[in-house]
Amino acid sequence: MNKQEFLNDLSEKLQGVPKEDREKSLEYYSEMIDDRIEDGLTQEQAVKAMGGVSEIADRIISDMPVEKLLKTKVTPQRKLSAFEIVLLTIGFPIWFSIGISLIAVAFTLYLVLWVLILCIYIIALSFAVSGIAAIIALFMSLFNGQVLSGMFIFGCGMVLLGLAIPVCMEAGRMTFGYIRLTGTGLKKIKSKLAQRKGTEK
Amino acid sequence: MDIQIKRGLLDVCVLAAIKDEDSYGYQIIKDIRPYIEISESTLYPILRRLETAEMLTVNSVEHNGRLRKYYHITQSGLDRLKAFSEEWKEITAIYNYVTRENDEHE
Repeated sequence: MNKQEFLNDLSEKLQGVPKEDREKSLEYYSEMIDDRIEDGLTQEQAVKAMGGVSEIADRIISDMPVEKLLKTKVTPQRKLSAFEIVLLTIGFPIWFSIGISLIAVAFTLYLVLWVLILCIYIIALSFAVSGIAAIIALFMSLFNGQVLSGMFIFGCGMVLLGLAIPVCMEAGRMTFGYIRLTGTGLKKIKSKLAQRKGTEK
Repeated sequence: MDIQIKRGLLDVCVLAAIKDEDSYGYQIIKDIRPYIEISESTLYPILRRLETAEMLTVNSVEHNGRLRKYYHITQSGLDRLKAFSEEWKEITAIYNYVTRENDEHE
């Protein structure tokens, strides 16, 4: 790969990055290659010394704040033709509502999973409350002279109280797992935003 | 080297490379390389970060019919280096404490 091919390739992979930042990166790598050539390397060797284009691009994108990436995503990089503008305007009620509903559905699915985790917490809580209630029930039964049934209720309560602990721990593990999943998900969305061309459909 | 430690050290090394006179990307890499592993793609985000933090400024200078970017350290860059040498005294003390027993066995 020669220098120009390398820079074109990098520029292509940085389509979603704001123009100013993209140009700065290209200038930097262009200078680096030139300096290495001046140092006695051939163009091929100098380009090779930079490393893989994809890794370089990933590095630049992951160092970029999300707001910057979003901004380029929303501003079209080429001028839209009159026909496209008419089409976009007429089609607005359709594509806009479909887009919004898709986002809403995805978000709802995301929330539903959170609610499921919340349910597990509530189950654990109800176990714990029943356990405590059983202790109170024991004393009330003893007070009323119903020792046997009091013992039975107390035993059940203790089992529930015991169950509450692993259930709660499981829910905690799921919470952490889901938070981690949210993190990687967001990162994926971020690199998707940057890699697609900056034009809005 | 531990990645967290390396990240902090790289910033300081880059500042140290331009401390006495302005320097450019490739020269910085050549100067630092004997001490710490660095590549073009690692240097770039560091330079951008230090520029945003106003620890260095960038000037384009013509060289062989093309532009080359020279990096110039600012006062807050110098302050960072000064803070580093203060921090290092603490680290040396910790180092001496950690390796103390090994020395006694030798």
